[in-house]
Amino acid sequence: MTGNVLIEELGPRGRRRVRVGTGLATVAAVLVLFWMYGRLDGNGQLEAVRWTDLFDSATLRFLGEGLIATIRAAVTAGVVATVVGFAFALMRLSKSRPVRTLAVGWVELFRALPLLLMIFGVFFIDTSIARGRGGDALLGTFWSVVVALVLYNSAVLSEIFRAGVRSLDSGQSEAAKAVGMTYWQMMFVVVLPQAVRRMVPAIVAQMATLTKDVSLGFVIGYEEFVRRGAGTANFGDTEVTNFQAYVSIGIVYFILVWAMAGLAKRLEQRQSRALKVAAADRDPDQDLDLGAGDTLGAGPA
Amino acid sequence: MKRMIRIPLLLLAFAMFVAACGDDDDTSSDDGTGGETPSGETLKVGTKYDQPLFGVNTPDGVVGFDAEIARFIADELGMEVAFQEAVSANRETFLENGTVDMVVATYTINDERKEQVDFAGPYYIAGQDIMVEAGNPKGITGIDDLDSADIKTCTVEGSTSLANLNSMAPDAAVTTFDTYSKCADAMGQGRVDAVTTDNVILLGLADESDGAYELVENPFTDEPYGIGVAKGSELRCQINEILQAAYDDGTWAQIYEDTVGAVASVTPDPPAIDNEGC
Amino acid sequence: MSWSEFFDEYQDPLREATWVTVKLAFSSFGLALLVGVIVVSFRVSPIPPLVRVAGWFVAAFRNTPLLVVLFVALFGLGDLGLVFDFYPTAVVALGLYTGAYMAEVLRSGINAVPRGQAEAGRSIGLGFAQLMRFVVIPQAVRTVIGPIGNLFVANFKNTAVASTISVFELTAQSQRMFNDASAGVWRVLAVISALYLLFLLPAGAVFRRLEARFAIKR
Repeated sequence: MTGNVLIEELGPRGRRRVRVGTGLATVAAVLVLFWMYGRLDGNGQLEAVRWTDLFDSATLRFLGEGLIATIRAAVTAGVVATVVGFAFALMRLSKSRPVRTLAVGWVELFRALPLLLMIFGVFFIDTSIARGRGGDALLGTFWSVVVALVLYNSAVLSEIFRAGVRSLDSGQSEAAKAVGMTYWQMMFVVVLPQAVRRMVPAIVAQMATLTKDVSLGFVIGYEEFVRRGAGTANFGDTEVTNFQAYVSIGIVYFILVWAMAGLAKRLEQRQSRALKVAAADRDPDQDLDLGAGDTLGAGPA
Repeated sequence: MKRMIRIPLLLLAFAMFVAACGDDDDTSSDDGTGGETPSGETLKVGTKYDQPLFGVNTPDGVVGFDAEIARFIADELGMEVAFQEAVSANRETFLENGTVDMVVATYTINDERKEQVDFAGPYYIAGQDIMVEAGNPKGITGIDDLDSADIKTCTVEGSTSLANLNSMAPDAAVTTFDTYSKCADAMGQGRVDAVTTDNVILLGLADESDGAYELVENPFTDEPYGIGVAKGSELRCQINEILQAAYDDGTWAQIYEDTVGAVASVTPDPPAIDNEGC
Repeated sequence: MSWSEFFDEYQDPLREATWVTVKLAFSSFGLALLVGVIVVSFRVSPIPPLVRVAGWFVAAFRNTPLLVVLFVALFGLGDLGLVFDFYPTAVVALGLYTGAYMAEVLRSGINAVPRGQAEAGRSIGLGFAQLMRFVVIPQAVRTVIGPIGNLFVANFKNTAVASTISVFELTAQSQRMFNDASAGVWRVLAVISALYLLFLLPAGAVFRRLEARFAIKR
């Protein structure tokens, strides 16, 4: 690789070694692919009809509805979580101690619990209230998923907003105070507009993670993309098996999340260019660049 | 300052808008004539559209055991049948508001439901059964065989079937998934030896497996299926008479063999009809 | 059901489920560390096919929901005749999933070492191995302690998803208890949450302290 400062410019022996390594790695990769092909073929997974049945119009419609359900839950939860997270970030920056404690408690609690448990919790509490009243469930599966996603993501987003506020140069708030602004004027006029803008890439990246997490709505029967995908093998008169179904939904999900992560990455690059111009004289140290850029992707949970 | 507050509100409104779009699951067309007795020439029947062997909506109309029973009853009453999808959650409502005249939709008779609607029949006794791989390699004949650490049994977490299994076979080695079709897949891959739940669901899975799975056909619980009609409707006793006649002349058995019989080898005896109040 | 009846009935299942969660969390995290080190060494190597394969690996796992990874590992591979038990499947799937993130964390740790230091090291005659050992890794390790702690917590929470492939850990246990109306949904949620927090709050605190202790002051 060029541009890798960890490694000296290669001499003839080094170049030969790299060539040998490349050859061996390529052979190994080809062997693995060959073995996979054998496995697929031997189990009849490559028969055309198993894959073409996925593109049957009824199947596509069935899957498309699931994808729309996933996007609907992601957009709803994303927007509500952003608003709630913003509110909690403000509470955490408040001067009143009880308000701050409440916000810290909320954030720490909901960041530390598995999302899946929260989905179950919201859903079963909703169901038990409905049973107690003898009526329909208040939330149902869609809102149960959304509420759980909001509980978790508002906690994460409020930390992102807070980090944005803290990343601002203290000169900004000092200047605001110097011109006689009150605390809230300073926050809303000077600090927050800059902090929020600075955090837009991180927020978009969190939305990519959230979109991945909508799949967990599966467990309470929300008919989202993965649930529909899992049903494809048993849907109608189809030759599709689990392998095709899960691999296909994995690929679609990959494209969706990868595109969102790519957007976050581009926003971040644009921002760091803008910020670097201002900070150029302060930070002469450039980071090591190992050639391959960051791999696009969302968070782990 | 004002703008900063307005943005979250706008976002919230947008979220509600997005959430409201497509919140229309399960709404079926309601022609709301509101009559308690069959009006004119058509008998409006609520049935399942997604229960293999019992009620499935196909391009050629609704087929299955429930659908054929409904057609037979309509015929005997001298009326045309008009099907309407009934899902578990709306069966009572449909009868109460006259959307349908009768419900034949894998509808279990119980006391809670009897407070809202009347039941003709029962016309079939469902029950929890066991599905195994074709040829029954482990020789499972009933619930007692599942009560062993050597036989892996699959069912759905949180289901009545799991509760029944736990109480009737406390030593069973249980695997749970969120759907019965995953249990069937797990059995196909040799991860479990048996799947247990209502025989109606198992029959559907066996039907879809193209002969890979079969039922033990030894149910160990009783769930009588009835034909729901509006409370106080005179239809109930009429239907009971028609059913009794179908039992006696073999029509019922014929319908069973033509539909469920595709998967089940044993045709059961028809259940005794509850004629109280007729 | 009173609290004492509740614990009489659920004490043993809860203990077992907690044990499964802890076992799964630690074994998959150990695997993730191993996977992360291997993948990152591919990524910084001078051999192009290895760099590419490592990049694909990381991208694939970062952009696919864990649930889908688990289902592909269980039912998808099962269709290819590769049938493994539920628990080992969960360990490997979680290990690979978290391992992809681990590789990114380690790589950003190496990236965070200022370029000038590597150049300085080389200019006094250090080879690649010496440079890594004396200059890059000691500094990189310090910067990745915090992110690795976050990954530990995320991985621990992600063990919950293994309940979908019939691994009977804490969240699966919660589901069973939620379905027992007499157990009380609020009580079940509180007890299961407390059991998770029992591990996750101290883990978070330990990693924060380690991070503070080894932080590089610039």
